[in-house]
Amino acid sequence: MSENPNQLEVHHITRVEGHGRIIIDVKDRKLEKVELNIIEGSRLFESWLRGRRLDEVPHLVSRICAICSAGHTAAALKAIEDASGIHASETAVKLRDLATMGEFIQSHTLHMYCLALPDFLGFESVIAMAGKLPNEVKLALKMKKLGNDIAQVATGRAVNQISMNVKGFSRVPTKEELQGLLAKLKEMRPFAEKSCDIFAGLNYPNFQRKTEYIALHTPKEYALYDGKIKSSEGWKAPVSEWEQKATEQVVAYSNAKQGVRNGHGYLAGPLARMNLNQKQLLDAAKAKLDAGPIKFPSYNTFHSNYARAIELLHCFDKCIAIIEDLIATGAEKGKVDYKEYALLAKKFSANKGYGAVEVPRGTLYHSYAIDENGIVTYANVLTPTAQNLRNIEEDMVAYLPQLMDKTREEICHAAEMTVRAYDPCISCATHFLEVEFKD
Amino acid sequence: MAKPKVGIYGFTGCAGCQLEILNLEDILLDIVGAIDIVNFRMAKSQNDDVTQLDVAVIEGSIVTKEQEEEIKKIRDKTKIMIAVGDCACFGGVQKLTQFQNLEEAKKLVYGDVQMKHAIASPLHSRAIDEVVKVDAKLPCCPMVKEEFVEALKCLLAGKKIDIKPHAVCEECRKNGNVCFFEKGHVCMGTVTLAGCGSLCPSNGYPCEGCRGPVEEANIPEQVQRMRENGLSDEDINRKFRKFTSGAKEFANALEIAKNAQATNAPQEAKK
Repeated sequence: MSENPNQLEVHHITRVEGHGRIIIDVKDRKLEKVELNIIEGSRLFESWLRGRRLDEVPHLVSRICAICSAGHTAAALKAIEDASGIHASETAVKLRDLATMGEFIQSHTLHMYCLALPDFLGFESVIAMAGKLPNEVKLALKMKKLGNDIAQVATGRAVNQISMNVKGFSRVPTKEELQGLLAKLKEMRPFAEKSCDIFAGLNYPNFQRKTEYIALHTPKEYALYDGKIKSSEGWKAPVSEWEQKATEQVVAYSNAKQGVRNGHGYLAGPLARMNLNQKQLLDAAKAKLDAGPIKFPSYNTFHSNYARAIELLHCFDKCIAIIEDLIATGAEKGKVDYKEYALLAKKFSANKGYGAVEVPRGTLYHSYAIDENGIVTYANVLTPTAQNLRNIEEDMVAYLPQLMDKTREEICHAAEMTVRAYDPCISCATHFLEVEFKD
Repeated sequence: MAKPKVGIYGFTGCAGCQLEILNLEDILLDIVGAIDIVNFRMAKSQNDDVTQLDVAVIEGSIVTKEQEEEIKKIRDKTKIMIAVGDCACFGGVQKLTQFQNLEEAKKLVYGDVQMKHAIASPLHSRAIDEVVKVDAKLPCCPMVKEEFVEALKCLLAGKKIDIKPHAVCEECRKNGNVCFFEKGHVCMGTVTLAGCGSLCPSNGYPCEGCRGPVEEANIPEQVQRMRENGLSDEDINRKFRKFTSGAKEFANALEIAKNAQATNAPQEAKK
């Protein structure tokens, strides 16, 4: 707690990835101000990426965030290939899609069961929860592991990809490995379905605030690997315009830049995707949604957890479809011999390229400019958590006044839960969450 | 007997090593049963900052003054401190700012806004042992989780951690990979500490040196081989200065090679 009597402070928001702090100013039981401080040390990626050669970039940027390293790798690859005119084969794209889908399963399961569910069921952590719900926790850990196994088989390592490179893969999975994954996916799928029911039945806080929702969209499928930028305000834009559409605002109290559009925050992530793209879900996920009690579009941020459960089931079926296709058509075509990276000697035209993918927390944008030797001269990364920071503040400004008759602890917990609903990844946005409360 | 008290802390990095602990799904519940995790902010809400620790596991590098204070406090109450991953062991990829002007780098990313927090006075990333004493290091990016479990077992049994003394090459040969140098490419496996099971070469990609230099790494010979493969000085620096540029042998590879040449030249002339 802070020494200032007008300031209540919860030092660390826990069960999020990274380090940050929330400061809440309250005067006479009225909320004056909320600031979300990201006080994580900055790593200045965008500065030292300049001067690196283009084929090094995917491995370097995978280190921005471990939880969505495959997503960073994919977004960087797309941007670099766009800049350099290199084309990845169709099979390579399928393998990338599979890797990022494994990451969705891993990340969503981790958030839903290990970080969020303890809030709704009144436990301090998943470790405490394991004592009371051993079967659910064991199955959740198994499902998380399956997500990792998918990414590991597809890319050589679940955290920080190895074989997923410019143009294609330096190693591709064997048929046996793919068949192994397929069997595991089918075995685990009933729990993915059950997860939809568990997360449909939680007692979500009754909080409604409509904001702008932005996600990738394509009429062809539930956009995760590819699509155009789409907004709930009705506009669409190609990914190449992301730097104009979403400006990052630097705020003095935070080490992460904030996503701002026309002076207000916007929401990226599972809720935005569900609000904009539910028609494109695969059949089973769509049927679950139709039969369930929560409908989209929803303006309740806490419904993000239910959206994650529906996406989880979608990703299971998508993974099964990709793997069956790869077994039938052969993964070999996605392979690029390292020799081909002797394209390093090739001359490029100086150019700028853009790439975006959906990652568990929202749309991830990368852009790079390269010179004629393939050396990076400009790098820019906009992470979902950075985009969501302003919107999280705006949510707290709208939600916390409803709770002013509660205890400090309850208000702090509600603030933490609001932040956690976004599953913020602060390494991405820089990193840590603390709540400081002023009243 | 009381369970050993363990704290798991994340400083600046990607949280990948902490995630690798959570990725030990098959044995995670056994681990939390065998030890008393008193601090693990990424995974739990009730964290204790007072209790004396038998083991502190540190991920991430130190980039702010606040972190410097915090790591000192943790050190003061800890018997054995282990640094896991390249950020904690070498300062991580963010250590690459050491080759830049920090003020300019900061301006490039954040523009002219006067920051209230630590970023107002940025520091270069530092490995944990540049700030406090570290008892054991488990490099790699991310840490190898099996190696972590073995190390934890050793520490808790009061044994010394077994660090392999050889280069990645040895593991690579055992795995039956064709050498990248034989195929006409450059690989860092010759000068890099083993322990990953030659993971990158086994996935068709040359070693990137993420476990840092092996003891007695022959840097001049590696530089010479790189030159023979047509690499420019910039290329050579890029190979050495990636995930473990905090290792002096890698940060100063060209200089080391040059000095070795200067020392050898008079002897050659005598022959």
